[in-house]
Amino acid sequence: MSVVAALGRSTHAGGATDGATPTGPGAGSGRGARRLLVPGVLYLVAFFVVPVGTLLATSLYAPVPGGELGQFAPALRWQNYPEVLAQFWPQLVRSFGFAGVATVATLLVGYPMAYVIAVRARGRPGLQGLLVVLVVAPFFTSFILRTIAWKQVLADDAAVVTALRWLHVLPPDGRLSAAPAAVVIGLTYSFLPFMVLPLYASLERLDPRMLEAGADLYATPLTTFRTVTLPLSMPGVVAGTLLTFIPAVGDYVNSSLLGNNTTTVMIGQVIDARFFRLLDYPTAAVLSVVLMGSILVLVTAYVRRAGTEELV
Amino acid sequence: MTALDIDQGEAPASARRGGAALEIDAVTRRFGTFAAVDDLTLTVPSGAFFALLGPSGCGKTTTLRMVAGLERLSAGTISLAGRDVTHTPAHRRPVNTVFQSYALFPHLSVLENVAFGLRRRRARDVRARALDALELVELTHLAQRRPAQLSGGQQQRVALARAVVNRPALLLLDEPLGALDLKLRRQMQLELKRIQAEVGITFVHVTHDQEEAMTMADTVAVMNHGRIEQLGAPADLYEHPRTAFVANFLGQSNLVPGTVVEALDGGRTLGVDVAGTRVRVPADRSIAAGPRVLVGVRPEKIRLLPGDGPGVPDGDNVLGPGTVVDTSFAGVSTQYQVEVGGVGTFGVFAQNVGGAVHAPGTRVRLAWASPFTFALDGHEEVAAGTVDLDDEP
Amino acid sequence: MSRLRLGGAVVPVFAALGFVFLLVPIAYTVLFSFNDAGKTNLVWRGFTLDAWRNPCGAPRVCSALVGSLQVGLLSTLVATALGTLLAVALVRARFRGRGAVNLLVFLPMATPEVVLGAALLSQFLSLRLPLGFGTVVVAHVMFCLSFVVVAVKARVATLDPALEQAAADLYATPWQAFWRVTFPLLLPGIGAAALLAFSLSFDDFIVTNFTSGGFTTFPKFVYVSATRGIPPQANVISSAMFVLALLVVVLVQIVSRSRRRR
Repeated sequence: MSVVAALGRSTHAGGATDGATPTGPGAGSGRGARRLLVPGVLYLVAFFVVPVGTLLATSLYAPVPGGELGQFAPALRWQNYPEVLAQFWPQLVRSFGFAGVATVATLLVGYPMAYVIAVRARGRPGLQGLLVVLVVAPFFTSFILRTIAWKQVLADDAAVVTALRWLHVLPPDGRLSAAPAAVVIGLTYSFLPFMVLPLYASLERLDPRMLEAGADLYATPLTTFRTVTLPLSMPGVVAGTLLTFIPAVGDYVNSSLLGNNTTTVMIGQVIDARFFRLLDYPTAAVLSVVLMGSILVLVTAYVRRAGTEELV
Repeated sequence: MTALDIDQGEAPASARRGGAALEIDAVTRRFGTFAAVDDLTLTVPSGAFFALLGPSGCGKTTTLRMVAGLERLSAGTISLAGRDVTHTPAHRRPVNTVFQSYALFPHLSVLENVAFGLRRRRARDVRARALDALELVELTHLAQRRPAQLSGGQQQRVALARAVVNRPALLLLDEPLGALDLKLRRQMQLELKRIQAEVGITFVHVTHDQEEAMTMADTVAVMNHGRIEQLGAPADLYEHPRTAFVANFLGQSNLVPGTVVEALDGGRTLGVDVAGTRVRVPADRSIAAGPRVLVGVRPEKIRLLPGDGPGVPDGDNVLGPGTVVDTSFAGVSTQYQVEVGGVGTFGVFAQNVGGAVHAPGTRVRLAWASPFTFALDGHEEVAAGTVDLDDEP
Repeated sequence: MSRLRLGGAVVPVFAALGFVFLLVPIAYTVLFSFNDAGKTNLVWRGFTLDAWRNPCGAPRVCSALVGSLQVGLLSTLVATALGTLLAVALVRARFRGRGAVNLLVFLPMATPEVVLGAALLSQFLSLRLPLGFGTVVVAHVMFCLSFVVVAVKARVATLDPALEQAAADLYATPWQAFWRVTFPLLLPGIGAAALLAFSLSFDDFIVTNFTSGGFTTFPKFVYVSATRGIPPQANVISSAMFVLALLVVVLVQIVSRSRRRR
């Protein structure tokens, strides 16, 4: 039976759909559908599952005694984990901390932007289009260049810092560059489009009549926002925060360009250094595995609490 | 000769005069343990306008989809124009469907939509034939528009043209008029009848609107819980219902329990006792097997007489006196609800031709000519086929 | 409707500040592409069009750009094709293990780039594969795939299943139904997914850094030059990309709006 024959006979649209006619279990054959998946799934298995497996394996390798730098032998050296964690837990915690703060900041900055585009500019497609373009287009300039731009803008003798010192927001010798603040600002900035777009998509689908219903039932604008808009935009909030937090934890461009070597080192930098400069593969692998594992745990807990059933 | 009377040679299986267009034999469709369609057997003659009527969930749409090939069978066979198509995929069956949501292809123009089936079959003169089909539904001036630019009624006609242009052996219509408002729907009902007569294709029309089915079809099959309750011409089903479901679903009926106590007129009439009153029922309109029956009479057959007054002619049945509990003006008629103690509540439709209007509270008697009475088996459920506010949609 | 406006002018002001925040680095980048730069292009020295007139003047800028474009185009092609097939199958067909495949597609998005890069690098090292153009493309397709699936899935879910049934009803074989009905209707979604994949690929640094060996892409070039001094030509290219992106998105908006009106 041809591949798409199965698709043609299968009439059931799975996942989140809008009022699809209930036709009962379609006649889709498992065999045909599976054939369509094969290339994609194979690719994912070969280039995601297997490499992660290799990473796991590498994390347990032991150094070859008397061997040169970068030489390791396959082993099951479980002590790698406690050893590495004991050495690098500050960077790990710091990464989650920075990412958390940045995510919250991105949410606070991005929500009004998405709200304006989706709700206030509704009915003016020209304006909406322009604003979306302004959010998306920076995406196409080099990420690195934008980060470097921040380095210059936040430099000690540049306008911004000078103004902040004058306003007494910063102490007279306070600085923003090569400091945690710069890194967090950089992180907030880097992932702003990833926050705004899902929020916008979610708010855009909001039926304005819901807001009217809120007003009709005596809710003030603030209450309507809190009880109607915000809960209904939750899928967007969840998607946005995830798309921001996850890359932020592992980011090292911001911390290496905007930070210093002591108080802002993030786990991504450590992994990069261990891989390329010190050739310490097991350590890097351990850190990667721990990073991935903690993110998965956090994401699962978060998604379950937020109540979104299907993310993809 | 209509514009569509072009050479039939390419049509996959054009309607043959005479013979059955569709034969459904012992077809069952199960979802787990639930049988949506339960051992259904049915024959649709060629050239007929056939209606499958029933409430939501009765299995009529599932049956239609099985005939179209869009749904698998759990058991049984389906034959089109004498050929077994049970295992033939949808795209090879000589059947076309008008979908409930029209399913017009949004990225194609109206003309290309209509031409779609012809192009897949590599027919000749595609453009000319598509335009002819559009002429049949009077929409040639919209040929270059996109479906999104049309009104609901226009989309419906395009969907019809798209199906009819292929001259299938069988045309299936899945509640096509559901989304239209009342006046438009009435108009389209007449249109569909006209087109079917002109083109001569067998139509199978699925609907839950009993008035629609009766107006349009020459044969109606009433379905309930996956089975056929009764099949026949609309008038036949209406005047001679065989189950309470059919009696209540087609139009309205007043059903009251009674007991057969005597045979009159040499067995041609039955005397039935209804809460103390004697009611005459023609024997050929009674399908009850035993003495317990449900006596039925349609609301439009009843006239209201004053509570105290002269008697009625011999051939009439009388019930009451009762009290009018509701009077509703419905334009064409005035509709009454009359409560008769010990018997039940009767619905009465009085055509507005200048007769007296009885206000609620009036004492009245109910009278009707006895040939209009029918009787069903006493074990039937009185309320079968009626709608309750608590019912699932 | 005034009762519905949350906070009157407050929200738009915050939003405006957000947009300013968003555009400050862009403005800086564009501005400094016109700088009469010394070696480092960190201090404003004067306005000049030199860099614009000679965008490939600095060594290896243009070869890096070409590298990025090559990788981007190829990865986009492969990721979009694989992802579309996956998305259609996941939404339309029923089969056991659908949940598992969904999870498999989701996992790469939940993985930080560092981990992806590290994993792929470990894999390439253990297989003793030479690092270069091939490995970069493989890596890029890898992380773009999930995003393509998500984008196309969203679009497939909005398609009325009755349309494909209608096509079958009108004698279209399953393959014809896909090509003539499903695919054209999916095209906007596929286009958006491809655009997304390309932009992810073009701007990617971390995974590329891990898996490219000696092969240079534009972001990698910029990062490596950061210590020595980024030539203004890099700013020129970035600014050009920005303007190009603006034009493309505006164009797409105009086209889709005119099509809707027609």
